[in-house]
Parts: sequence; C-alpha cells; structure tokens
Amino acid sequence: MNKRFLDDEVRWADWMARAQAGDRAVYETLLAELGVAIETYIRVRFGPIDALEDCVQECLIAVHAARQTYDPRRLFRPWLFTIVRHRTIDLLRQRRTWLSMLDAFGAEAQGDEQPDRLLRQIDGVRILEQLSPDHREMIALSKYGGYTTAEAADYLGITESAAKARLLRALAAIRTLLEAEGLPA
Amino acid sequence: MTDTRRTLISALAADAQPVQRPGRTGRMTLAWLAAAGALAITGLLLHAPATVFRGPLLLTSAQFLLESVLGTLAILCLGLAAFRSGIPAPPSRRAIWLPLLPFVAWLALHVVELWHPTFEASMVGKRLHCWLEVLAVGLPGLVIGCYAIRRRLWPLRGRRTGALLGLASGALPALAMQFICIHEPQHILAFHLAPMGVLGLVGAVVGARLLRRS
Repeated sequence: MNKRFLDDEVRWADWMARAQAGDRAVYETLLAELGVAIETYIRVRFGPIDALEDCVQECLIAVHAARQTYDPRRLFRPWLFTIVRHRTIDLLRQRRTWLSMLDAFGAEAQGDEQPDRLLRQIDGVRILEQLSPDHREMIALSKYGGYTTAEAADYLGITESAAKARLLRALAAIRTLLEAEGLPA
Repeated sequence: MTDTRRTLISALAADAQPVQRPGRTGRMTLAWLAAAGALAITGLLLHAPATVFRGPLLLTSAQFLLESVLGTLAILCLGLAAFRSGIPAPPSRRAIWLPLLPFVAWLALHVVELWHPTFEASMVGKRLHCWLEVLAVGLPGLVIGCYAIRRRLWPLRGRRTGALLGLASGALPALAMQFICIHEPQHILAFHLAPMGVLGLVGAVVGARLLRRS
C-alpha cells in the first residue's frame, strides 16, 4: 500500500469510527472525501459510464446505510470498495434491463392506433428513461404509486432522510431534462 | 463537487445517528443458535414426544460421538459463515471454504455409515413424517437469522448468505433427529439431511430476494 493510500486508510478508518459514534461534522467531511475516491474508483474500474454522478451518490447512500457494519479493527478501503463495486454493478445491470424493456415497449408500440396517447407515453417514458434506476424507482413509488416518503424509504430499505434526498435529486434531474428540451419544468 | 452531491452529503450527515456495530459476528451466531435451537427442539417435542433419547450413547459409541460433534461443529460453522457474509468486505478463499469443511465431513460420515452403520438397524424411535418436521422446525431458525442479518448487517451476496443460513437452520433439527428418531443411514440421508438441503435452497431463494442489500 503506498503512502497516500495508507494515509487515507488511517484517516478514513478513524473518521468512520467517529461517525459511528454520531460525530456528524467528521462524517460530512468523510463523505465528501469518499465521494471523490468513489468517483475515481468507478472511472478507473468501469471506464466512462453515463450517469456517473448518480452512481457516486447511490454508492454514498449505500455506504451510509451500511456504516454500522464497518469494524474499525479491520481495513476500511476493502470494506468501502466492496460496497461500491457491488452497487455500481447493480446500477449498471438495472440500467441495461430498463433499456431492453424500453426497446420491447417501442417494438410493441409500433402498432398502436392512438398516436397522441402513444406520444404522451413515449414522452414520459423517454424522460424517465434518462433517470438513473433508483431515481426512477423513487419517482415511481412516490409519484405513481402514491407512497409517502416514509413508506418508500421502508420499501427501499433506506432511511427516510436518504429517501427524501433521493427524491429531491430525482426531481431536480427531471427538471434539468425538461429544461434541456425546452419543456415547462 | 456538484450541488446535488453536496445536498445529499449534508442530508446523510444530518441523519448520522450513533450506530451499534455488529461486533464479533460470533456472538450474533451464538445468540441465533440458542434461539433457533430452542425453537427447533421445542417444536420437535411439541409435535410428538420423543420415544427414545440416544444421549447416553455418546459415552459408549465413538462413531456416534464423532457424528454428533461434527454435526454441532457444522451448524456452528455454517451459522458463523452466514453471519460473516453479512459484512461487506472481500473474504479470503479460506474464509469461504473453511467453515464448510465440518459440514462436508458430517455429510461424508453419514455416507460412510451406509457401509459401516453406527447402530444395528431398528425402528426404535420412529417418528411420523420426520422429514416434514425437519422442514417445519428449521424454518423459524431461517426466519430469525434472516431478520437479524437484514436488521444488523449488509449482505452483498444474499443468495450465499441465505443458503448458508438455510443449511444451518435445517442442520439443527437434522442433528436433533439423530437422538430421537430412527438411526439408520439411509433414513438419515433421505429424511433428515435431504430436507436440510431443501432448506438450503429455500434460504438461497429467500436470501436472493430479501437479504441482498446493495
């Protein structure tokens, strides 16, 4: 392990131990550093992927949700990057599944006799398709499924704060997409 | 750093309550073993009283003692492996395969007993539908273990974790059956150990659907 890695290792392990004890300021600093490290790791390990920022944020949420499983007697980096690797692979798989579903939908829709309804559907689907899988899931649960944030958080196995943050990010992403296409946000 | 990431990090930090570390997974395993074992034995005895108890034979039959010790060790190791796999960190190959050794040895001993039975064949202790009992009283152990792992740990390989937990849960009543049911190698393999394998499969399915957290 080179010196920089070693320094990171010692510092992150200490900060995570303090975060586990409830030190929020240290935890915020730790997450900020981890965000950069995770982004670098994903770039190096998975190459240029779209929705990189979403991947990083989903990994941060996963680290937050799994933080109680870190044992300060063990190395931090293997713990961190195991979570990041699994989460990123999951996100990429979900994205691939969603895209193939969209292809199937497009093929079915070719015979539809109501062009206006079809266009509206495609427009909605197209916007949703550009969201990350977890954002889509959050939007589907809260806006289409009628779940409250607490119910959606429970369903997704994340904290309510994380669900709120995820919903906020999903709505912000939709707004950006709509604005980019010149549609009312 | 993007604004959304900064917002997210602030939200996560605000949510950072003190958390309880899982500590030594051995303790969780022992707690699970105590609860699941008590439930399994109570379930077996409530369903049908034992007409035979081979406990004293541990002192007189080395082979029976060996298979009982291996069975106990197998349950402990499987349970420990299941709970350990709930910690996200790359385990070494040894950490994956070592806990399976007592289990494999236990199974192998039962196969060997087809040619070298521990006791003479007899129907003493016959229980109706013992295979169903193994399945039924093993399930609570699986449920409790899944609950504990999902609540306290973060398994990234849900299928593996579930399968290990299912096997451990099924091995508890299977081992108990050695003491209170027919002790005949073919019967043990078909009616005590095969249902344990079924519980392993159930655990794998349940684990893949419910345990995996990433």
